[in-house]
Amino acid sequence: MKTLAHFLLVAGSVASAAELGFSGPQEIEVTAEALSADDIAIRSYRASYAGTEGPWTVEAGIGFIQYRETYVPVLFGTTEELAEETLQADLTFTRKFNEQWSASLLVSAYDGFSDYRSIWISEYYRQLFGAFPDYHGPDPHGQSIGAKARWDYLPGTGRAELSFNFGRDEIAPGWGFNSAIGKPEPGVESLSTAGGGARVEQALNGWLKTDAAIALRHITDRKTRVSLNHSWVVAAGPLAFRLSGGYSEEPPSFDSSYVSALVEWTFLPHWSANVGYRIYQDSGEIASSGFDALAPPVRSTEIFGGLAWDHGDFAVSAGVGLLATDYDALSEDNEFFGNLYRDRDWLTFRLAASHRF
Amino acid sequence: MHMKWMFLLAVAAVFASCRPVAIADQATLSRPIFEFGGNGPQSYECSLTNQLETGRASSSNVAAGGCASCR
Repeated sequence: MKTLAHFLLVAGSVASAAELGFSGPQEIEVTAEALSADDIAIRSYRASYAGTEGPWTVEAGIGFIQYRETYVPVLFGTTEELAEETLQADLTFTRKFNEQWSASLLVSAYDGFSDYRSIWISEYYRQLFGAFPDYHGPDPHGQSIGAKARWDYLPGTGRAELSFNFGRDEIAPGWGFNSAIGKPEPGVESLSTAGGGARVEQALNGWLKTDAAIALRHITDRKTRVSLNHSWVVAAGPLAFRLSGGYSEEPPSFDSSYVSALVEWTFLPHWSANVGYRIYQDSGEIASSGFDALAPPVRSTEIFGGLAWDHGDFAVSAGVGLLATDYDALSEDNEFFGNLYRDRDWLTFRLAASHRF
Repeated sequence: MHMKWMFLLAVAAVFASCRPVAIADQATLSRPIFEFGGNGPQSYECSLTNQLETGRASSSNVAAGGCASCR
């Protein structure tokens, strides 16, 4: 209910902002995305509004994610068609102090499952322990608050950002049978997260730009995860090329890395086409102990392409991609999730538009 | 050995290309591909892929939710 109240607060803020009318630049943006395989479909819709009044900029966004999955058990249980929805909302206040310095305060909330795997795993536990009176269904939701400082040390050419975030998630827990008391018990049901990061973006000349970022994230009962990302973009006439890479590490045993390349061709004054390729791998999620639902190591690749029309005040872009996931074999501890962590071919889709006025 | 020299040559070329950015350059630098954290029409990839590639988060991703067993 608290999350729903936040959602209504943001929706009300958007309506109020549109009603009051900011005297500075305003922007409306809508995005629709989809990720689907033969038995899993995720659709995401988001709308946001930004308005400027003097030194203040207010941004408000609302989102809706729809999950459809065909749950198929490995050893026992029944096949089920699962359907879930998640609501998201966020609000950002930014104060510009001068040409170089600005600061932002961000709040966000969601109500519902945060990913398709949580839904699958929750169904597994429901079928396993749902007949026990002590079992209760999950009610995942969460909130976060953050702050960001931005320094345009060379306005239009170079900038640095420093950010901090704190969040609280009520999650869909794992369940286990406690033989000592003769009934099932949930695992951890809420998580606290603290994160932060720094980022530097610098144009080296009129056709070459680079970006470097470091992010840290600490979640309840875990070690701190450190992530590094680095990108370069170079333009040559109508062509532009972006190369990005990243690495994450979390003790005691998690690491991941990716490389992404993108080529964009501006073939008409307002039209451009792009094609990209990304490779990703990780070492699998960190094991806690015993039987669990952890994902094994995975490698994935995606080839994606799109078309964009940008007319200054109005812009539209659309893209599709083919993504393949390749999981390592499951261990005896988590073979019950063999149908969740099986190799799949995914289709990705995105359509977005924005209007400045 | 050749790779090492090629890398050093590339680094030298990058530094040699450094020069002040003129106002005329802003048209190129304002192209969407130069926006590293672009949203909406300025983004090129479907953000839902983060559900598959969980280690590719480009931010601290607080309040990302999850399940206890996904630790």
